[in-house]
Amino acid sequence: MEATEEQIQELIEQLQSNHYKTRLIVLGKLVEYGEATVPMLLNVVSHNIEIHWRYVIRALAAISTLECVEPVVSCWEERPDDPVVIEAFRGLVDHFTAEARLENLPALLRLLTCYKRDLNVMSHGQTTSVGKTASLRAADILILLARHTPTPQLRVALPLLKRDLWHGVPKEFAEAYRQIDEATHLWKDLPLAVSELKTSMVGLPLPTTIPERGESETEQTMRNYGTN
Amino acid sequence: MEPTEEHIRELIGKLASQDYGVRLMALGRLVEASDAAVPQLLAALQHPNALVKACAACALAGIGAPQAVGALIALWEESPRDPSRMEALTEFATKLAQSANPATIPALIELLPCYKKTMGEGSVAGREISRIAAEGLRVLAYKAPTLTLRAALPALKRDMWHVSPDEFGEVRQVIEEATRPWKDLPVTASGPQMRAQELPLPADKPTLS
Repeated sequence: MEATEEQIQELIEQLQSNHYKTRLIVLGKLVEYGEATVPMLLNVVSHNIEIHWRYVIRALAAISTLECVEPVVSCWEERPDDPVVIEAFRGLVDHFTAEARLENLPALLRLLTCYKRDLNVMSHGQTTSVGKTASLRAADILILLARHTPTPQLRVALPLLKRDLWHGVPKEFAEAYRQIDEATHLWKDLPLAVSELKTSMVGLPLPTTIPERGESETEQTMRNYGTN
Repeated sequence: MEPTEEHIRELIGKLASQDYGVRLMALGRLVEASDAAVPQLLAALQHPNALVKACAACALAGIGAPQAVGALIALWEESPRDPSRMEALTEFATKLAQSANPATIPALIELLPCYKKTMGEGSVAGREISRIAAEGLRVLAYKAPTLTLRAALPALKRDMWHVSPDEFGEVRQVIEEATRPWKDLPVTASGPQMRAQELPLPADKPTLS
């Protein structure tokens, strides 16, 4: 179903309606229009526009494109005990963990970090494990991808699956780490692109031979210009 | 174009979908179908799948079907801090109160005790719902007083264990005055149970012989 920008804008404005009936109908329509509504819904989120925000989060979670991941996950991290947000978050997790697809990798990487929020919630006396479940399901999908379609991109997940001193990494992550590392071993020493995920010194690839220590190109240039 | 029964059945089937988006789309369509969807939505309240039940109750709340009152209260009581359930019941009560008529009186009366059903955050919403229902009954007593309004009087009485909303006293008085002509009518055996002090009094005291 196609919709014009005006139609979408109008629907988003109707989310502020005082009528519950209207809000439910509009929510359904926004989901039906799908991906086309995402930029405007994201605009509402990023500009903190006064609107029934739970409806916006529900719509984004139901549409579940990659752009929807961050706002929905962040919203759940801020309100991990809100049942509406939990339901939306679960909807998003279901979508991205239903099938093993490499294009969903950024979403899976984001979900891998969700177990950390559960710890915070538990420290306040609650015992929800919504985040850990999401992280484990993401790890399972990454294992499937490693088995069936191993690619160098999967190695980006490795630092996230490593033991973390501050957060109790789920023990199941060790197995995911092992399987992905093994399946992508061929690409172990490829250089990292600048745009890749930040990695700690420990995660950097090692050169196969240790280079001899000589004068670097930079040092030579600086000497030539007499600045050294 | 009014949706067919078959189409509505199909939409209700989608409420059980594992796909969150499919459920929300079906919910929107059912609310849009309005009165045509009510009979099947009421039947869906007995569905074994909890998701279907919850979505059907929300759809009925959106439509404002008074028959759904019991199901909506039960759904809210299960999880009184759930904003969507709270919202569904509050909006439902508001809609009923705004369009109060003799047919909605039983549903409004059923909403009156919500203030004493839950503790904590849920009880704030409960009080609000009770207040909205009482307001609907008060307006109706002014506009179109009927005998059935008197069935609300016991629920509006001061409660020894729960502090009822302040407005209840005034609403009770308004209904009492508006329905005075029916005060001493005999009570039917199938009517709501009444305490001894609520029973109608005979016009003349019987003489003991």
